[in-house]
Amino acid sequence: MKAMKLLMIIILISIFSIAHAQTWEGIDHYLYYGDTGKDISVAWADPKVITPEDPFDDYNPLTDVFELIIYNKDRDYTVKISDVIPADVFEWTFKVPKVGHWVPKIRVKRVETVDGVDSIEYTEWSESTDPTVAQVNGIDRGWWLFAWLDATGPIIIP
Amino acid sequence: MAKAAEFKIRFLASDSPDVTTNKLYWVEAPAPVDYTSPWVDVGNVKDVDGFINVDLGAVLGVHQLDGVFNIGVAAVDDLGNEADMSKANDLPLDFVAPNPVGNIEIL
Repeated sequence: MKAMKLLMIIILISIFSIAHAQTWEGIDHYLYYGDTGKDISVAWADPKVITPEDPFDDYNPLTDVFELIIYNKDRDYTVKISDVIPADVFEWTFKVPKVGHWVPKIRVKRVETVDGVDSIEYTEWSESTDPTVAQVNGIDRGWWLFAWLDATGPIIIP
Repeated sequence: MAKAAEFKIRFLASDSPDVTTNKLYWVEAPAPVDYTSPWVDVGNVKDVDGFINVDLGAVLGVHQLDGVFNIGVAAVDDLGNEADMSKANDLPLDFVAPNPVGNIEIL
């Protein structure tokens, strides 16, 4: 497996709420709003379908898993969502853990054991703000998330 | 010492795992309650159904109110971010005890 950027398409299939264009580092991205504590789903294409040749000519579903993280742009830290997503799963549902702007990133992790020693390889991260690998409504375009703190329920006077 | 009446409210706690407490805001009606209104920390202790219960008559700062008030509650995370406020308007609150009666006379 070559250490190249994962040429797959990241698609947000379950949006928080409305989206609008917001400029980040000079590029227009779509911004999806939502709440912490609410489920969102991110989907990506089967890399073997998208790029049947290089860099996935040796893509191996038996040894490869997807690794999904989200990066907090405001405070510059990363939260691991999962690093054991099976290679035949192309959608993952999770909760955004804290408020702020978040960028999902995904890559392929390959673990092979040779002579009792694990060898781990990764592709480069593909991230949702990269319009060459991300889509909004079928159009190549970067996107990211903003999560508000999930509100309490209504006040009840028993 | 006088005894304040009970006035209990409850609200379903935020789903966010990083919520550390909740703020109760109040303002005398008809002014709208917002994040600049007086507030008090009411904690994040949930009952078995996930509700947070508050007896307003026992909350310091609220326990001396007398009038019609708009109140709101907002979840707060460990960094101080506050969620959208859940509100209840035009609540008649009166925690001020009446004047005491005169001395007991034995006839």
